[in-house]
Amino acid sequence: MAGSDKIVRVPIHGFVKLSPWEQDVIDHRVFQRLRHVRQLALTEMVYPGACHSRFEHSLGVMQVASMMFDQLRPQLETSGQLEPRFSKDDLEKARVIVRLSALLHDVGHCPFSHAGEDVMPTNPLRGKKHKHEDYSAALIRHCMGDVIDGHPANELKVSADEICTFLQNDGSLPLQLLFWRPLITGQMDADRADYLLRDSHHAGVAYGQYDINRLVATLRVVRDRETENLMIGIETGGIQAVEGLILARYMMFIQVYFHHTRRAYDRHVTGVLGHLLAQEYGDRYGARGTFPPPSGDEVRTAVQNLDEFLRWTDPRVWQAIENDSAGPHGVLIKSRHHDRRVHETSHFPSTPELDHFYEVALPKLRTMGGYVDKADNSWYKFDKSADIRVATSDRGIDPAPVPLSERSSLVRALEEVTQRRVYVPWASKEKAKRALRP
Amino acid sequence: MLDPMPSNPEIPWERYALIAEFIRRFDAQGMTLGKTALQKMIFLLQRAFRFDFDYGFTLYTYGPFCVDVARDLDIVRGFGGAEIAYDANRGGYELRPGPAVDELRTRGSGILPAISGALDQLVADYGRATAKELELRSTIVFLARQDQNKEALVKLVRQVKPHFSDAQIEAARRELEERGYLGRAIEAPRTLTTGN
Repeated sequence: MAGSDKIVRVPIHGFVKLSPWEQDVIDHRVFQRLRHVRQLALTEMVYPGACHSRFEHSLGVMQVASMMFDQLRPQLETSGQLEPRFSKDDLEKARVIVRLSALLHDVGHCPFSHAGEDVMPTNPLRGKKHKHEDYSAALIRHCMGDVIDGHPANELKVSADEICTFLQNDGSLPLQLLFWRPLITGQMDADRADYLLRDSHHAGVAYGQYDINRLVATLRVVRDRETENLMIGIETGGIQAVEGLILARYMMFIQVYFHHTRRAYDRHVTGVLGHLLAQEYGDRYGARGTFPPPSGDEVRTAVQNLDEFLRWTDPRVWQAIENDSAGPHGVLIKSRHHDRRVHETSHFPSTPELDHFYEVALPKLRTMGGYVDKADNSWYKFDKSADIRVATSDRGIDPAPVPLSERSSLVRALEEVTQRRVYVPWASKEKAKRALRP
Repeated sequence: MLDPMPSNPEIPWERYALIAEFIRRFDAQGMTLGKTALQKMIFLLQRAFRFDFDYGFTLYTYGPFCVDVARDLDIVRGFGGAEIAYDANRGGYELRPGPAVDELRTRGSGILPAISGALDQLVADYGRATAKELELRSTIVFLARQDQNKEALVKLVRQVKPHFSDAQIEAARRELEERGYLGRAIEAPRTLTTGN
């Protein structure tokens, strides 16, 4: 079944090269479903161009993760001081795991991505709601073994379980793999590195732009002075690229991810999904109005639940909204009578400002169906990443890196966004404004 | 499943009070609290003392880390509850009380009596530990859920922390066991009452 490499043109990165094995993974129904899950839910109601899918983003993350891996790998290979050594075989296998993990990290997203996660069922082991990562791991483990473990091109014997362990990180990863995990989830990970540029591109805003090529070219392996651990840092010459990344994160958070109208639509999407799931399943999965869980009493049940989950895509939900069968929140989306923001704090409220918000403003609005949204609740958070390490030497594993915030007054000055807003139903907007007048 | 700490659903004052309390206690006892140490202290409080502040920790090469702890520390600083300085000689941060540290402790004070005993023990046991020592111990506690057999646990820790010898890991493991940290990490959840 040996085929040849193919290239596919992906916005932002241009040509992305795919091995025959990766082509088979991409052709799998679990991955193909991502064509029908939009990256930014109903952000298109604010930015009409933001209609891109998780499919495109996942290809982009694989590309960026590979670029980052290939920049760091020679630094590990040429260092003779490391204990344990990163052998050639370790690095070959790690590269395959990083690429496949990057490609598959989002396969567990429900319709409208993060906006639908509020109606995921509770994980009985944690007592908290499942996350899309739980679905991703379960789908890879139970539904994709044929294109991973059983693929003829899998010469390094990479297993679906290893990819799940890498993504979920239960603590059993050896250092040779754990070292690479920040490429998937960390302060400069490939996920964020891709989605900032991609979301910015499709939304038609310039806020998410930064110099990704410079960022990748200046990645360095460093050894933390306090704890002597190997970490992924940046050369001094990359400081401006990282500052650009952090500013992009800040701007995109304010202007896109935490946009007041977009957040109102997130809430309506949650309402629509809860309604549709309750109609479809009743209380079959325990709590009413939740997705099938990513697990089961036995593997067969888990697979049945996951098959059921895979049937949920954006077009299916849109069809219900168009048919007026998506409940009251569906009507609000269709009519664009979404909830309205009527009051908000500054981006960085002081304690007196918060007291005023909760003790004076909010009580006036509660009776009108007012509710609070806060920056902390957003799935996309601004994280200023002040602790990224900056190398202080020119070559080799840097033994004395310093935190970015010590080298960047810009990063030092940025604060976490903790803004709060009050929304009321569309019909109560004017009444709420009158109530808030002094 | 741990017992969730009672919390204002709108503002996590209890989390901010916890951070402010650590900073205040270390300062009052003339000890240095760094960012790494704060992360590991809160991890141990959650895992080994079973007080759940809803912080989700992930294991990195530098031990258990939670981005929300880092974020909350920045928020506490923004509120004036902490001052953060970099010590170039040590290569780490130093957290000191800010002008609003006591206001933040007061706002979340309902929770402090319930955790006071645990904080006393935690600070007495590990307040003077280095970041490196704390990181090893918190990694052992993190991985204890994987395997409680002592030889297997040492091997598991060495996989992640090859710069520690087996003897160093075993000594730290034994110390945690003797002090009750490993045993408590697998105990049933406790019931909490607070002043709120």
